[in-house]
Amino acid sequence: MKQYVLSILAIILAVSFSAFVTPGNKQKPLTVENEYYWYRLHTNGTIDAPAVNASGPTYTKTEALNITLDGCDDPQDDDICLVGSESSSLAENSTPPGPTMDNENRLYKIDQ
Amino acid sequence: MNSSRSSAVVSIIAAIFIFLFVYTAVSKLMNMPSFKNTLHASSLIGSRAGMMAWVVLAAEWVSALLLIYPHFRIAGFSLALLLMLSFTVYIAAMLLTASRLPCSCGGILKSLSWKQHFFLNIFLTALAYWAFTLEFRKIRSNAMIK
Repeated sequence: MKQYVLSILAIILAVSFSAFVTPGNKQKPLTVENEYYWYRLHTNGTIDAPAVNASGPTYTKTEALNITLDGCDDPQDDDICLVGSESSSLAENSTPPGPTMDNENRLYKIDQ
Repeated sequence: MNSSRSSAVVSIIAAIFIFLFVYTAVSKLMNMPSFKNTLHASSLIGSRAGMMAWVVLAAEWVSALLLIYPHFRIAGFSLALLLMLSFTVYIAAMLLTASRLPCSCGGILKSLSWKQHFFLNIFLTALAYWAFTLEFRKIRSNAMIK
């Protein structure tokens, strides 16, 4: 039994730690947000297909911010990080869809 | 290193990897869409993200389970070593080739940069290799005694 004590302790610590450190269920925002497929952009501003969540569920802007890639933080900077679309099959190098109200489908780059 | 100290070292390293794999596996399970998206965003994995996510999770759980039981620790360390080597090579390849680096893995490791993660993985790979060799020598010396 002694030889298993360390292992059992490690498992208990790991599960407890992950429960405290890993973000759990997030509270839904009070305002209703649309869900999108999020695309990166090429340096010339055209779509970089496929969407980062092409094979998965759609995300609202708030959800996308919580799970998003390094470099995206939405400080309303000029450089766009991700563009959202209701379509999961926008063509490569196509023009990104326009911003919706309050830039709901725009995520901006983090300040460098 | 005498055998009792060697056994203690192996047990401690096994506990470290059990903690690491259970923690990262639970974190990934609790945030599976994010983990899949991160793999999908990687140019090296891309469309295989769904399958790779489950393969990695399964390997982590199996390795942790094998490390619990002393009889199967050699197999657990082999799998841990293989996993750590794979992760290290993946991170190195991403650092060398990717123009954009997606967010890294789950939980507290998310706060590490890709370079920090790479050096941590090197350390863990060395740890797994050390434990594997200690355990292998123990098994071989036990077999010779018999």
